This record gives sequence, C-alpha cells and structure tokens, in this order.
Amino acid sequence: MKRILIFLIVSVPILLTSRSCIDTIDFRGKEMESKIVMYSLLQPDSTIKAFLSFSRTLFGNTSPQQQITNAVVKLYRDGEFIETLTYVPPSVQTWYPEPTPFSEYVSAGETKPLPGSVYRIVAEIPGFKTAAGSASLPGIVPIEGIDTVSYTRDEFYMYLGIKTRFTDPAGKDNFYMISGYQKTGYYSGNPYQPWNPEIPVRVFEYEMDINADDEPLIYPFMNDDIFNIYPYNYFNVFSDEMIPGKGYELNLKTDYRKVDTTYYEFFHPTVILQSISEDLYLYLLSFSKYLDSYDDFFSEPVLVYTNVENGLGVVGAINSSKMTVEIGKYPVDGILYSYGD
Amino acid sequence: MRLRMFAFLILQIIALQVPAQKVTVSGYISDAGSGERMIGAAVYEKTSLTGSTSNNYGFYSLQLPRGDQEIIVSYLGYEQESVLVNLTSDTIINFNLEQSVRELETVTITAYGSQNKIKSSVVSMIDIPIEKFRMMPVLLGEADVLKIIQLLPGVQSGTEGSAGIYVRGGGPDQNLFLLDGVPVYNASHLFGFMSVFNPDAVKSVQLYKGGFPARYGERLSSVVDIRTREGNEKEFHGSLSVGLIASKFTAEGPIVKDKTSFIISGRRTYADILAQPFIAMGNKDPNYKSNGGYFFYDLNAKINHKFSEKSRLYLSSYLGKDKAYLRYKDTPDYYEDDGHKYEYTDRIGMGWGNIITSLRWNLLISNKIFSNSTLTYSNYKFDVTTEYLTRDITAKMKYHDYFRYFSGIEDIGVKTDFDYYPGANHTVRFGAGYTYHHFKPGVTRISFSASDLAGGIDTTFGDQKIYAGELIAYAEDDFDITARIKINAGLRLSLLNVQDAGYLSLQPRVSLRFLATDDLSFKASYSRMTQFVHLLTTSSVSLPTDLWLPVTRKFRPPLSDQIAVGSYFRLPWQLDMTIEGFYKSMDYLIEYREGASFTGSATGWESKVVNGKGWAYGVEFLIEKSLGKTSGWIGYTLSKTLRKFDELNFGRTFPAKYDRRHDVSIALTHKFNERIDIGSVWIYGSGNAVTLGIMEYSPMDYFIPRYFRDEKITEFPYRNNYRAPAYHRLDLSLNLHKKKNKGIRTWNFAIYNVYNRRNPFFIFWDDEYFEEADPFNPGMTVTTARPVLKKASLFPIIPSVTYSFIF
Repeated sequence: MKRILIFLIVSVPILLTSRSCIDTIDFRGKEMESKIVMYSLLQPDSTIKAFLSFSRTLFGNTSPQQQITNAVVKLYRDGEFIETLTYVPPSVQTWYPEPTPFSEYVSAGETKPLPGSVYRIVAEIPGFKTAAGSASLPGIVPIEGIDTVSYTRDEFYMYLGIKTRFTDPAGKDNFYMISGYQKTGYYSGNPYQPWNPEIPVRVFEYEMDINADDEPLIYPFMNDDIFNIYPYNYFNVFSDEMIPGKGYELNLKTDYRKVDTTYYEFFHPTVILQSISEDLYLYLLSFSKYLDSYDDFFSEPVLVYTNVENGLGVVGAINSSKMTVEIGKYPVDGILYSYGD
Repeated sequence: MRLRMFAFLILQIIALQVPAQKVTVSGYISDAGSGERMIGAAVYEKTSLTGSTSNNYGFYSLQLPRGDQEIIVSYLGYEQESVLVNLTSDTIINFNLEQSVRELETVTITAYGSQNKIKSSVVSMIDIPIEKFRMMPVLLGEADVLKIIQLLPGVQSGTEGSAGIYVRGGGPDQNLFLLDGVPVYNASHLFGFMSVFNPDAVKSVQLYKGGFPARYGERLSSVVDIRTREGNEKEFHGSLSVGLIASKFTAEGPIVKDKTSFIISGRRTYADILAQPFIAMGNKDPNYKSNGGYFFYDLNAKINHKFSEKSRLYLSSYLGKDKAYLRYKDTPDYYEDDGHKYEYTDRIGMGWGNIITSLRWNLLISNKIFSNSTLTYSNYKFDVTTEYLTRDITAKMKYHDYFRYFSGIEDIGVKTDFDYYPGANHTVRFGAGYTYHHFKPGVTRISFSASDLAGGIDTTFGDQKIYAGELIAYAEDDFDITARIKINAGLRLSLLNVQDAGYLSLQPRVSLRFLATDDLSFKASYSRMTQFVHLLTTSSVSLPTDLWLPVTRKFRPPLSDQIAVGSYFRLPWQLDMTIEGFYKSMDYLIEYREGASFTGSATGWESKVVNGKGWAYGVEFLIEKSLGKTSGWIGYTLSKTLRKFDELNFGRTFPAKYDRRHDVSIALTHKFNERIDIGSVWIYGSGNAVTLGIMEYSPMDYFIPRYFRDEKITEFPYRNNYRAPAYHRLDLSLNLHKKKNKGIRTWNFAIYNVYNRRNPFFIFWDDEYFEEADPFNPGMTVTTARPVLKKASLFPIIPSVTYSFIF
C-alpha cells in the first residue's frame, strides 16, 4: 500500500503536467470593425474598374458575401471629380467555388488612365467608413531583347532559359513583376509515323510558369537557402534597388514539351515585363509572404499591405511590355489546327 | 589667472582625496562555521559611520583615523560583531561571523548595514535573498534562482513556467548570466522550465537592471552575477534532497583544514526512469517496441586552496546536460504492397549542455589593493540526430537514413580585476580581459546508404566556423564627493574583431547618489551598454536550438542607453522602499522578418532577420521586509516597451512581444518557529502581446495563384496587436524541519497555482463545429465550422513534496 501511495504521489503530478489544457477564450480585441475591401488595377487602354467587398470577422457569418449594389464609387483624376462608377452585376462564375465576393463598379464613360495623372477612387457604402485609394500609371519599360537557350530534361521535356534584357529608368524608384504566357502546338498524331495532314496540330494557350530561382533580383537569398526557407515569390515581383538606372538581364527559366517543327509543332513563350506601382508591389510582396507562411506555426504573421485609407485591398497600376520568342512557325497556311483541351 | 584657478581647483580635489593621518584596516569577512567568505557584508566605524562592504571574495578595506576605533561588521542572519582597536598603523582584521541563533526577528539592525542600499551609489541592483529561497513555493518542488528573479520589479518571465527573464524591455539575449564570472550561454534546463543554477551550490546572486558599474558589460539589459559556494573549510557537511522530478546532493568539507576545501553538488531528473512502467505497459504488441524519455543532470564542483592570508586559488566547474530521446522498432507481421516483409527502426535524439570552468587567483597585493585573475572556459553545445533504419527481411536489404545537426559556442578567456581602496569611502576598480570566441552556428550532416547502392550519400554542409576576439578594459571610481553626494563613474572599452570587421565601443557609466537624510536617498544613473552577440530565436520559450551568433558587418553590435532615477527610503515596521523610473533606448536590435520561419539553421541567417530599434520606459516600486518573522517583498512595475523596424509592420512602431503594462509580485515568508515556516507567492502580469487577426477578406482574384483560390487574407491590424489574457497565480509552501541525530530533515509541501488558473501558454484559432438549420432543406440541419479563439495552458494546480536532509 505504501508503495502504491508513493507511486501515486510521484506519478500524478507528472501526468498532470504532461498534458496541456485547452480553453476557449473570448476575443476582447478592438479590431472587430468591418472594413471596405477595394481592389482596382489601372492599366493603359483598359476602362477603370473597382472591385468592392468587405472584411468579416472570423466568428461571423460564413455564407457567401452578397453583392454590394448600393455603393457610391467616385473617380477623381488629379483631384478633380470625373464620374461615379456604375455597378455591373456579376457574370457567370467560372472557377470560384462560391459566388464572387466582389462587386464590380465600372466607368460608364469608359475612362482609361492617362500617364502622369493620379487617379483616386473613393468608395462609400452605408454602414462603413468611406474608403479611398490612389494610383498613377507607371511608365512602360520595354523589353529590349530575349535570348533563349534550351536544355534537355528528358525524352519529352526541356528547360528553356530566357534571358530578358531591359533598362531600368533612372531618377526614380521602379517596381516590376514578371509573368508570361505561352502558346504551343502539338501534333495529335503518332510522332513515330510520317506526318499526316489530316491530323490536326492541337493549339494550347495558357499562363507560363516562370522559374526565377536563379534570378537574384527576384530571389535575393537563394544562394544560402539550403532548406528553402525564404518566402516564395509567387508573383515574381522585384524592385530596382539593386539596379537603379542600369541595364539588366533577368535570368528566367520555363519548362516545356519538346516540339518537332517538322510536324508543325511550335512553342511561343511570351514574357511580360510589368512596370507596377509601388503600392501594388508592396501588396504583392506582402501577400506572397503571407501565402507562404500563413499556416506555419513557427513563422511570424505577415501583415498584408494596403494603400486603401479606412479600408483594405489595393489600388494599383500596371504598364506592360511584352516580347515573344517563336520556336516553330504558327500559323502555317494549309495546316490543320484544333484548339483547346 | 585662469591657469591659477584651475591649479587651485585641482589641488582642492586632490586634497579631498588624500586621507589625513589615516590608516588602513583590511581583511576578510567569513562565516565562522564554514569559513565561507561573505559577499556584501557591511563593515563600518561606529561613530563616523565610515564604512564599506566586502567584495565578491569577502575582502574589505577601510581608511580610518588613528586612535581608538570601534569597527562593526554585520550581515543579515548573522550576529553582529564589533571590535575595539587602537589604530596606530595599517592593520589586518579578519572577521568570522556566527550565524544568528536568535533568528531573524532579533538580529540587531545596524545603521550602516540596514541602510547600505540607501547609502550605496549603485542604482537598479538587487541582492537576491538566497536565505529565503528554500521557504518560497516552487514548481514541482524545485527551487530556481531565475524564478525568484522573475518576482522582482522590472523583470518578467516569458511564458508559463519559463525560467527565461526579460528585463526592462530587453530581449532574452540581453541578459548576461555569470557563473563565478564565466558567461553562461544557455541558462535553461527542461526546455526553459528550469535554470541551470543549482540553488544548493549558489552563494550569492546579484541582479543589475540599470546603473551598470563599468566592471560589467557585454549585454544590453541585465547582469545576473551568480557566485557559487566555496565549501566548508572546517568540517564535512552535506545534504540530500528527493523531489518529484529530481534528486540532488551536496557534499563539502576540508581537504586540509582551514586551507583547502571543496564542494560538489549534483542533481538529476528521473522522469525518464519513472516513465518506464508506462512505456512497458504500452509495449504489449510483440512486433512493436518503443522507448523514450528526457532527463537532465548537472554538477557543480569547486575546490579552493589558501596559500596564505594574501593568496588563494579557486578552481570551479559546471557540467550540465539535457537529453531527450525516442526510439521505436516496428516489425509488422504483414507483407507490404511489394510482397516484402520489413523491419523499421527509428531513433531520434536531442542533447544540449554547458561546460563551464574557471581558475581564479585572489591576491592581496597590499592592504589597499586586491587583485583577482581568472582563466575561463565556457562551452555550449546542441545536437539533434535522427536515424531511420529499414530492413527488408525478405530481400535481406538494408536502408539507412541519417541526419545530424549540431551547433555551439566556445569561449576561452583571461581577465584580471583590481580593487583599490585609496581612502575612506573610496574604491577604484579597474581591469582588463580578453575572450576568444569560437562560434559553430550550425552544421548539418545527411547520409543515406542502401545495401544495393554503391557509395550512398554522406554530406556535411553549413560547417562555417566563426572566430572572434574580444578585448575589454574598464575603470570605475566610487567615492564621496561630499558627505551627501556619492558618485560611481566609470568607462568601459570593448573591442571585437570578428572575421574582417572590427568594432570599438566606449561605454560611459555614471551613478550619483544624494543622501537627503540617513533614511532617504535619491539616485540617478546613466549607462551605455553594448553586446557583440545575437541570439537567433523565434520562440517565446527558450529552446536549445536558439543560436548565438556574432555581430557582422551587416548587423552591428546592439547598444542601449539607459537612464534610471530612483529614491530609496525606510518606512516604519522595518520596511524598505524603492521607487525607480527608467528610460532605455536600444539600437541595432534584430528580429525575424515577417514570414521567415524558424528552422534552427544558421545558414543565411542574415537574410532572415532585420535591424531595428526599441524603447522601454517605466516605473518600479519595491517594498521589502528583510527582517522579522515575516519577510518578503511586494513589487510593482508599470512599463511600456516598443519596437520600430523599417521592414516590419510597414515601418510603424509596435509593442514588443513582452511589453507588459502591469506586473505585480508578492512574495512572503513567515517563520513560526524552528520547525515550521511557510511561503507564498502571488503574481499578476498583463497579457503578452501577440499578433492575432480577427477579420478576414478575399484577396484580389486577378492575383490569386491557382492553388490558393479558396484562401482568405487575415487582417493583422499591426504587429503584436492583441493582448493575451492576464497571467496570475498563487503558490503556497509549507516547510517542516526536524532536528535529527545527524542533521536536519525537511519536508517541503508546495502547491503551484493554488486556484488552478489556466494561464495562457500560447493562443491559437481553432474550429468549433455546431449544428444549424439548413437554409436549402427546411427541417434539416447542417454542420458548420466556426473559428474560436483558444488558449493552451501548461500547468494546472500542481502539488509537490520534497524531502531533504542536511547533515
């Protein structure tokens, strides 16, 4: 009995301390106020639009957000009122698993942003603080040239190194994003048989996966990143901090399926160098870090940037230049093509 | 004319410093029973109250006028001793104080001794009452030096149960722990829940939070100077203690009586041993065997030899290690998909520990100059290993995966300090030292071998060793400018040479005391501190994986400037009160970038952190009662701590993680009689600051990567925006002592967290599921998830019992 008693005296506290206790607690923070979320991207030759939604508490209603039809969205250019944007009901959903949370407001006058002007969008929704954000179109930075080199990966796939040259405009801070799309065509028939003109070349067009792992402007930490611990740069954004006013060659890669031009196959990658506003750069940079770490218990939480006063989201601007590399010709007269999946 | 005036002033100052017709009285103050030298004992002349305190080696030196003088020595818990002497020339008087048999309530309080704190020029220093240690309630029956320090104003604990300290807005890497003068890099056992300092081996603990004398440096926020006992030089003694999680022993005694003595003290936890029956119960499946555990041990040993009254040598050493391990072997009785039968063996181990050694030589050069020369060695190592062995029994093949990561830091140092007593109430301290640092920030070895694969893989990377040399020199002067104004002024010089970079830091220090009355003084201090190491940690808990790294070209040495002002006075009922205000600015601090994840690797660490600055300011109140049957203290701190980093929180100022507005601690002990005493502790602290989002919103669909299309962005208003629930708890203890034939046995009964407060260890969002009406199918319900905020707490009410025997 004495032994049992001693055993209990010793073991009970150890067992008590070996398990943690979990309790639900009331959130007593001040940050329960719902805010207007506004996104707008100014692009040359595109009508100005604003997309509105609102932030919601984690505790609250989880049903899809209703469309905001009663917002008053005003557009100003260089401080002067231009027009009130018009609500446009959503079109058919494509990929969203639920109705879009955004309510679209479009310039009825088809106002398009002009270089050098500052555009301010002010959104008023009853029950919310008025939110506002501004942006101006950055100057276009042309791609001066692209050099490619291909590497065989295996029997069917290759790497394509894409060295993209541009010159950073001097005298101001510039921010960029690199993206691209590709158009490819593959012969649908048997590649081990002679070409059959009755069998079409299938044409696909989709977003290009750009690998910028070897590009220090986009991944400045890559050399010491043994454990791949640095935030992934999902949007391939970078600043000119390391190349102010200088010419530079971006070291990019993509992979693609080998094409056989004798079968009229082709691969046309297009690189897009987007000159972006600083606010958009900060938003994308912080959002990228957020995506990389939001479910990591050990990482410090990331605050996603906003330039929307009294609200969330971003009002930004993009000005793009493109250049396409053509491997194989397309279209070729007399060749049968089919499109899509 | 100006030159004459200047010369006159200089002569006047010199005249003030030159003792007229004075002689020097010096010697050592020791415990009569053990011969142990006493630190901080008050020595003074009865009439003039000219006095001093003994230094870290029990030495004192006074300048007194010739003639009959009555010299009095006092120390808390000891009988006061006085001696009447006719001083005609320099005299050596050694004092041996007897422990008070009348106990604390009747110890005579001398004017000088009780007011030492009031009269001293030192600001923001607290002498930790070691003698009260054992009366205080403690977690799992294990007394802990750092947990007592956490109860003092200006000092915070990190999280529940943690032994880490955060002083006046500083981080965990800004505290210098000195064990017999040697820096301890990892002061934690048991993942930070206990400190490495075994209280049985500790003689004195002094905490400096500000007003740093020039002899201390190399950290921004605090210095915890821990001195270990020397061992009884008169007779053999020892103690044994058996607690819930650890047992310990101490043995001490003379090797050559009154000349050479030793002390050895050790402890070990045994949760791993106690867990074995439970593990055995879980191992009923003959195909599956597992084992695991955790333990730590430490050992303090010290030997000292007295060559003469003027020369003494100490050799002290600390050895401590923590080890956690997990092993299992699985031999499933079924065949895998490939038709083969396998045996899996996994081993995971983690170990870390310090080795600290110092060789110290005390030499009394004259009765006015005391020197202490030290050779030091400090080594901290961390090692984690995982090993997976797969045996294909069918094909008689073997596959072996091995991963090992280890890191560490090693210091070898030499230092000489001098205490010079040129006149009455005047002490000059100066010294210099050199430390050679060897950082091993993180080495990873990965190997893979298979019996059907020639060669395999065996690679090591990150094996970057960093060497640094650090030179320090200091001088400080502590003297009375007038009868009421005392000053301690000093300068510390630090020079670091790391890789191809050099850093020189000049750190001025000054403390001023104005004695308004014998019971009231006002003090002010300014100190600049710098440090040449960073601690890379993301966790609020002290983990062995935390990495010490040197400053680099990119990350300059952090520095702080602190101003502290205070008032010290006596209240009725033998109460002493201290009020101090402080303002501290810190520059070149480092923090992890937002989104940077903790991996324990130092590789590329510079890219993961950012530079910034911080501020802390506040006011601290401390009411102490050191005497009488009831003793203890009440401390309260009102403070604010902020940080500003260009690359964090969008460059805006934010509260530091351990910004704690209110911090209260009440620690009381009461001694009923020789057989029974009780202790209680109540603490309250505002909740820690954490970054917590409550609102969420959809990202811009134009930019959502296709695999994140369902994700929402959580809005974090700013870094550390949310306050966790307040921390508070009450602990109680009861000590029952009984004199036995060969010693004293003590039963300690303690209850930690008496009212079972579930204090937050960390906070997190979780999903709570509930039923609600299905809007699309009337009469039906659907299960919906809703996020709820939860806190995990670690220690509920915990009773403990400890048995100890002192002989």
